[in-house]
Formats: sequence, C-alpha cells, structure tokens
Amino acid sequence: MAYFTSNIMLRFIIGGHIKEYRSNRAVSLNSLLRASLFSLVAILLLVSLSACAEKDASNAKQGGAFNYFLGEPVAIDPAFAVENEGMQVTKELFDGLVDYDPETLALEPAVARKWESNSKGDEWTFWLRRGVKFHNGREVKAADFVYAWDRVAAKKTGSEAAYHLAPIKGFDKVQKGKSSHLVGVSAPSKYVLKVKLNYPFADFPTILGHPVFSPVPKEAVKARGREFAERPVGNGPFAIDGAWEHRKGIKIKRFKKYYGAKNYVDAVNFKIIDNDQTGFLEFQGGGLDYSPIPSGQIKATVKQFGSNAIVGEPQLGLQFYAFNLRKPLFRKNVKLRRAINNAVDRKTIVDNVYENAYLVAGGIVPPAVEGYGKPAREYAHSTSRAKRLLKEAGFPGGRGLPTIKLIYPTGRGYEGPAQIFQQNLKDIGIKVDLEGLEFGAFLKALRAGKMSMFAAGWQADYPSPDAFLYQLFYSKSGDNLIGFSDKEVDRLLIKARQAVGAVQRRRLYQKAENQILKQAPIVPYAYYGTSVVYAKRVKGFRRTALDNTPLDRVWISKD
Amino acid sequence: MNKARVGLVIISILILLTLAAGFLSPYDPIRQDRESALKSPSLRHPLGTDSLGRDMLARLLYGARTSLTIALGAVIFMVAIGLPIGVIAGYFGGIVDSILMRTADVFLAFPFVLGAIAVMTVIGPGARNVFVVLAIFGWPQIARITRAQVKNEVSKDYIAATKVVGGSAWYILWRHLLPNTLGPVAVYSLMGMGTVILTEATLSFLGIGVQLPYPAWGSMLADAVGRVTVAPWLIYGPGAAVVLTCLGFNILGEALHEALEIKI
Amino acid sequence: MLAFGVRRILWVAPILIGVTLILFLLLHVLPGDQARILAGYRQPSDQAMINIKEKLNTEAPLYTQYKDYLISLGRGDLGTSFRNQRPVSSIIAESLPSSLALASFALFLELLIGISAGAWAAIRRDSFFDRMSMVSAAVLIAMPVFLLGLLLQLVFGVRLRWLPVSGLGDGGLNFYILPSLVLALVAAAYLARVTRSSLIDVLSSDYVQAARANGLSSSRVLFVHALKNALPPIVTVAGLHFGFLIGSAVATEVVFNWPGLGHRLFLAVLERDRPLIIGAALVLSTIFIFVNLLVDILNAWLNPLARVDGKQEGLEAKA
Repeated sequence: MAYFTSNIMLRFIIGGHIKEYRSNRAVSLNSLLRASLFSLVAILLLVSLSACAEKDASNAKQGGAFNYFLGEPVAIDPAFAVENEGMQVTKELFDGLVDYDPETLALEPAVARKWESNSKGDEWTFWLRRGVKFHNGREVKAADFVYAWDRVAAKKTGSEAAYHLAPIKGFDKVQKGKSSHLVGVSAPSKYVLKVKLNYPFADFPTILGHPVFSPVPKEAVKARGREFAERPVGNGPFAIDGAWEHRKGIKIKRFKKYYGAKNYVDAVNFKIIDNDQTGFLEFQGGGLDYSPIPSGQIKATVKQFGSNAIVGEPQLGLQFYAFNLRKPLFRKNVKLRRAINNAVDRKTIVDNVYENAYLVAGGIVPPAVEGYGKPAREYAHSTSRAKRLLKEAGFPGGRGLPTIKLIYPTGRGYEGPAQIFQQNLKDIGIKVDLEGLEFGAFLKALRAGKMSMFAAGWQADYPSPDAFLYQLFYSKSGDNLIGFSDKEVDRLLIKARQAVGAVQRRRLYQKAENQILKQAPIVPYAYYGTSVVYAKRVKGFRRTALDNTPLDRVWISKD
Repeated sequence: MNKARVGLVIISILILLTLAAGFLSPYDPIRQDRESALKSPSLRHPLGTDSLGRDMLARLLYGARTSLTIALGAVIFMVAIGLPIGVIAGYFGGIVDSILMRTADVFLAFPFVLGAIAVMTVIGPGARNVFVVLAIFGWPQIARITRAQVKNEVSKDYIAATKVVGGSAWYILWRHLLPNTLGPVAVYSLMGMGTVILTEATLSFLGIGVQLPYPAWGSMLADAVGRVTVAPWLIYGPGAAVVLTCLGFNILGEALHEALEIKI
Repeated sequence: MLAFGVRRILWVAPILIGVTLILFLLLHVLPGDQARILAGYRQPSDQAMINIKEKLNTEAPLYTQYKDYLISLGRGDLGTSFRNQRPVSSIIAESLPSSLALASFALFLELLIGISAGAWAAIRRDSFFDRMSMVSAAVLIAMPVFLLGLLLQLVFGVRLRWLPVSGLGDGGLNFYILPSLVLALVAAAYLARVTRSSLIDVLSSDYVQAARANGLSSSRVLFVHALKNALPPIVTVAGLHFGFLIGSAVATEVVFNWPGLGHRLFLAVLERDRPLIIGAALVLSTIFIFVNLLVDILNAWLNPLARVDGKQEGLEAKA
C-alpha cells in the first residue's frame, strides 16, 4: 500500500515540477534553475521520507538483462558520435554536463550541477558535481572536459561531429591543426569549467546534451589507443562489458559507482542486426525486448501488441520538398511556390505511406520542440486554391510551366510520398518527373544544383528551433542547400541566438519561422514519428523525441 | 517417359499462363489502388493484393513474363558465349584450349551468387543487368561441357578419317562436333533455367535484382518476405511459381538426360 | 597421379591472379564519388575531402593502383574498411570463423541427412519413403534458400519458439541448427539423390548379388561392401558442396543475421565499402578455389578415370 501511495505522490510532484519548469522557461535561466533546484530538493526529501517503502519497490524492479535491437553503429567513442545507433550506446556509457528529460527534452543537470552565463551570453560557467566517477574509478574533473573537447576539435582526430564545437573560441585554429588547445575552454578549478564563445549563444547549454561533449579520461585514451574506440571508458550508468563485437553485439553492465539514480537492469545486450525484418522476427521469437517496426507493418503491430507499440510520437525531424531557389523560375515566383504548397495532400502521404506513424507537417520546427508544430501560417490541401494561385502566378492550368524534375535518394522511403506528390501536382496541371538517385549521386546533384526540386529529410541533434531554422535557412549556413536568402529572416535568427530570455527567444524563432513559411521556399509535409515496439515483460520503456531509449530507467517484470 | 510428361505439362501450363496473362486477369499489374491495399485472397482478387493495392494474380502472371524472359535470355547468352568457346577449345586443344579454359576457371572461381552480387553493384540493378550477370558467370559451365564432348568426339576414328579425306576444320566442327554437343548442352540449359530463376530470386531478395514496380517473381518474393507476418498470402503465389517452375525445368532436364543416356 | 596433382596445383596461381584482376577492375568502376560517400552523412569540409582523396589515390593510373594493390596483398594487407577505418584483414579474421563453423556444421548435417536418406531410399527402392524423399529432394532443390530460411524461422523460431530466430548469440549449438539446416538441406537433397543412384548401381552389381547368395546378412552387405564401393561419387559431391555452402551462405547469413563473412560482404556491397568487398570476395573465392583443387585431387585419386574431366557440373552452377 505504501508503495502505491509514494509512487503516486512522486509522479504528482514530478509532474508539477515539469509544469513549473515549462512555465518558468518564460522567466529567465536563473529563476528557472532556482525553481528546479527547489523542486529537486523537495523530491529528494520525499524520496528519503519514503525510503523504506521505495526500497521494496526498487528491489522488485532490480535485475535482469535487456535485449536491445541495434544497427551496427559507426562509432561508440563519443568523439565520433554522428548517428543514432552509436549515440544510443554512447549515451549509456557517458554522461555529459547536461542531459535531456526523456519526456519533454527539457534541459537537466548531469555532471554539471548548475551553470550560468554573463549578461551577453558569450561566456559560460559550469559548476561540476563532486564524486562523479569514470568507469576506471577516477573522479571526473573539469580538466577532463577540456581534454575531451580539445581531442574532438583536433585536426588529427578527424571527427565528423567536431562542428558542434564551432561556437567555441579557438575552434578554427584547432580544427586546422594550428593549435592543440581550444583557447575558449578552461578549468579554473577542479570543479569549474569556463567556456568562451565566438558570439552570444543563449541556447549553448542545450547543444551540450550531445554525446560529443562527453568527458573522456586521458589516461585510458592514451593507454588503449585505437582500442579505446572499441572499448571506451566512460562515466555513465553503464560500463562496457568486453569489447564491441562488430556486426554481432555490444554488452554493457551496470556501473556500480554511478553518481545518479541506480539503474534497474543489470545489463543490456545490444544485438546488432542490420535488417528490420529479421530483427522484428527475432523480437516476435522472444530474442529481443525492443525492435523498430518494419515499414508496412505498423497498423498490424499496433493491433497485436497494443500499447507496447509506440507509434506516432513526434520526433526531431522534418521531411520536405525544396525548391531550387537558384533557378529564376522559382526564385522570382512566390505564388508558384505557394500554389505547390497548397496542392500537396499531406494527410494522404502520412496516412497511406507512414500509416500515421509520422505527423502532418504544417510548419518547419516539429512539435517535439516545445511550443512549435502549429505555426501561424499553414498550407492546407486545397486544389482550387492552388489552381487560383497558379493562375495568379502566370501559369493558368499549368500552361507555360516546364516539367519539374524532383530528385530523391533511393532506398530511404521517399518513393511513396514522391508518387503522391506527382499525382497532386498533376491535379493542378503541373507535370513532375521523378528521379531516384543513389545517396552519393544525390548529394553530388544537390551540390551541382541542376535539379528543380529535391526531397530531403532533416534530423536535428538537439531540441532547439535553431537546429532547424538557422541550419537550413540562414543565408550563410553550410546546410542551406535551398539557396534561401532573406535579410529579415537572417536578422531574426541572429537576434534569436543572442536573446537570453526564453520567451523572447521563442517569439523571435516563431517570427522567423512564419517569415520563412510566407516565402514558401520548401514544401514541408511530414514530421518524423516513432514506430517501435517493446516486450510485455519490460516496464518503464520510453522512446524520446531524439529517437533513443534511456535504458537506466527501464526495468524487467519478473512475472 | 513419365518424368518427361510431368515436366512438359508444368512448363507448357506455365507458358500458356504467361501468354494469356492479359485474358486471365482484368487488372493492371502496376496500377495502384489505395482503397484495396493488403486484402487477403477473395473472389475479386484470388491471390489477394499487395501493400499498394495491386492485384497479386495479375502481378504473378505478368511477373512470369519478366522472370521467364530473364531466365531464357540468360541461358541463351550463356550458350551463345559458352558453346563456341567450348567447341574451339576442344577441337584445337593445346595453347588455345589452355587459355580459354583457364579463363573459364577464373570465372568459375567465383561462387555464382558472389560473382553476380559483385557485378550487379557495379552495373546497377534492373532486369537487363540481371541476365547479363547470369550470362557472365554461367558461360564457363557450358564451355566446359561442350569442350569435354568435343574432345571425346575428336578422338574418334571417323573424325580422323574425315580429316584424311580432306574435310576442313569448319566442316568437321559444323557437321560432326556441334550436333554431338547439343544433347548435353540442352540438358544443362534446361537445368540452368531453374538455377537462373533461383538466382534471380536471390538477387532480388538481396535488393539488387529487378526493381519495383515492375513485377518479377524474385522482387515479389522479396517484398512478401518483408510482410510475412502481416500478409502471408503474398508469398503463396510467387513462392509456388518459383518452386514449380524450377521443378518443371529440372524434371524435364533429367528426363532428357536419361533419354539421351549421356553422362555429364 | 602425381603429375596430375602437380599440374592441378600449378593452375591455381594464374587463376588467383585472374581473380584479383577481375575484382580490382570490377570494383574500380563502382559508380558514385567514393570520397564523398566515405565522408559520411554530413557535408565534409574541403580539407576533409582532399585528405580522403589522397588516401584513396584515385588520381593515379589504373595499372599503378593494381600494382600497389598486389604489393600490399603480398604483405597480407587487404586495406582499410571505409565504413569504420578498421583493417579489412581484421574484419575478415573476426567474421570468417563463424562462416567456416556454420559451413562445417552444415556439411556434417548434409552428410548425415543426405547419405542416410539416400541409402534408405536405395534399400527400400520404390517404397513410400523412397518416393517421398526423392520428391522432397526435388522440391528442396527448386526452393530459394532465403524462402526456406524464412519458413524455418517462422515455424521453429516465432511460432513454436524452440530455437532462436537469428544471430549467433553466445555461440550455443541451438543457434547453429536453423541456418545450417537451411544450408544443409539443399545440398543434402543432391547428395541423397547421388547416394541413392550410386548405391542402386552397386547393389545390383554381380558381386553384391554374389555376396547375398553366399548368405551374408543384408546389413553387412550394405555397410561393408555396397556403401564402401558407392563412396567415391558421394565423397566427390560432398567435397564439392563445401564450396557451394560458402557460396550460398550469403543469402542464408543475411536471413539469419549470422555474423559471418558472406553477410559482411553483402553489407559492404550496400555501403559501397570497396576495400572490404575486394577483400571478402577474394578470401571467399580463394577458399572456393582451394576446395575445388582438393576435390579434384581427391576425385582423381579415388577414380583414375576422372583425371581428365568429369566434374559434377550442375552443382557448381548452383553455388
């Protein structure tokens, strides 16, 4: 009985905490911190009060091994974290300065217990928690972050993820091999880390949840050399058990001296499988506790597994068609771009191709980022409106328009939506040719800029509107492949980056998003959504909007 | 003769069905119908529909055209390359024989599927490329059989006699040697049809064979395998078709083998 | 015999060179910009592209690249995998053993199933068992390997849950059963037919009839006299199958997510990982060549008449 009471109360308070946290985002970072610390203390108090009752409960949850479906990662060394599979493992092995709440993706303290910036927002100070241990038993200190970040940025490391460190002062020099140390990063004392940036960046702590910012123990990197990439030493809730067996599996086990809450499962077996279908069969045969659902089987799986199938939760990704704005036809004619936006039947794409696991995209920033997903301007599916706009654009019934060539990378699920797009545009009199290209050839074609339109997917690494708006639409951004350039949007995006207040920042980003949508440089049509399933014996399973599963909170039911 | 009859019946039914595909199914094999996606077999769709609402029977029948054309094309290519090479190597012997047969050995050194995979990745997927690849790795077999047969024949007295009488090399090749190789080559070609159909299926399963939306048994099977737990009926048609066709050609090949009493 | 053996061994060298040349040429003309694919998901900096290009040495003429390739091959260096910058030789070293283990296990099952079914069918000629086993053999031969694999997975893995669906797990014997059965069954179907016809020939021969007439027990006749004499073609076929097993292992390993070299090769193809494709195909072909060599010599030793030609052509075509 006591167990139930305390659990319900806990949930209530945590819920309140989250709410408070959310509303406080509007105030300022400091008051927000104070509030969260306060509620943290309150929770700790409550936990210690109900310690006896809680002990029984947690014992019941303790133990067992979780079998996890994993694709072969590119790397599990945090310095090379560039894709999902690797990051899933790295996040269990390493803890950075901050972390994201699995439910809301709100920022949470991890190795750093608090942080603040100067008034401009270009100098940050992080205070580290004491007693955080590496898996080799040594304590994590501020100097370990300095070493780890220098290592990521160094030219000879050759990390593809290094660009995340670009805002830090001295990054260019280290990247070019002219220096071995980031001048912007220093450790004035054992537990204090100072970071100086090239420009004011209010969302800087948010990007620190990316695994590339994890601390690494210098002595282990030096001693293990190449082996470190196969058997890294981290500071997370799990430590690696043996070495990575390529294309076969990775085993991790509970790290007993972890500073945070004790994780429930003793071990996780990452079984490496390269094919969704095989993995799903393995799951059905009982060999896996978690598997993604292969395409085309989502509805059937929901029917069979009920609430154990997690389908349609928004993720940090957007699929869209982009106009090549370097072509005068599109650059000069906003009405044509809007007409095509109105012509596309997003709902049919999401219904038929993605079985509603993805979400209809009205805007650019997905609803997985708080306060977004429903922009002021949305393009509804209306053939008549599209026809009218097309006429106003000077192409009544599509007359006078050349055939539009849409290119897309093959084998990544773009074929279905592209065929529907083709049909939609035919309905208003525009002829579309589809051309699928192998991924390398697709990238090459994008760079050459010869197509009229292209299909693309964009997945963000951290929950910030900046990761969508700045990277895709800022005129000088390296990822702006559309050729979009608008002075007002540029001004808003820079202002938003520098804004310290969360409310003001959000308003600026929303303004920028609406300004972009008004120009209609892309046709957004779907936000990525989850489609995964987990075994009945597993409890506390959660899929985050970053497309990973925090395995320290998962437990295995004994009955 | 019992075997031959079974094989012939299977193959003739198959060819008839293929030719009559248009009459037997009112549906277009690549037209999508979103309203009737993934329907299990019924009177309207005897073999059900696939995920895009395409009629499986229509796809199976039209797929037979693709698969059989690929198989036939590949075997014809194999013979077209292998037969002359085998005859030349067997007749002339010596250095010519050595060079040709060592080249054949190099191609034989790749396990069949392995070689096909390697080449497919270079020239890209597609129906035409499938049979080019199958021909590239299939001809050495034909060449070997032909060569053995020719060598055997060349050593016989009547050839020597023809030479003495003044018969030219071409005359001997054309009148005596070629006809003698036809039996074993026919047997091997029939059995080869089965092998080729299986290999096409495997390449498609690995994602480097005939591409959707055009129906071929292999790519239909590959699609069906991905949905086996949701729509098992997708496998019945193409699965049965592949197995029966292979069986038919193998049985026919064996029957011919026994009838001709040849050892290969 | 010795001359044949020596000659046959000498053939291997030019064939190996031919194999390396074909592989090299094939994979050199792979479409797509190697450097860009290698650079990964993100847009690489210009400097990164230059570094990669230098490493690939794509500007050098073809014959220089081939020469370099052969030289490093001589040193046992198969290059570095694009995907994760590890030496190809170590990737092969870690995946080849599971392939060989699978093939050996499959060979064992093949012999067990093929010979016993074939022998039983030969003894009970025209019985129900004979007909049944010969029909199932014919069907198995006509079945795509991946379809058979899927069927077994569904029945024994998902429905009955008797055996693991995929993978090598902790290396336990139960993980081997389904994939090796898939590999073995098709080969066993051939073997059963060869065993059956070979045994029928021997059983109807004069000396077996004579032995029977002299009152020897039929089991003794079967095991001591008949089977021994029927052995040469069986051994030949079984030996040839080892190459076949390695060849057809690609599809099987993919279906069962087996951590073997065939599977690795397939993935390397998808990822356009050129050094790994060359390396894996080279190793598999080399094994294939040497097994063929061994079989030829064995064949010649068991059956002097076969020293000229007389391979089982049909089997290789399947592999």
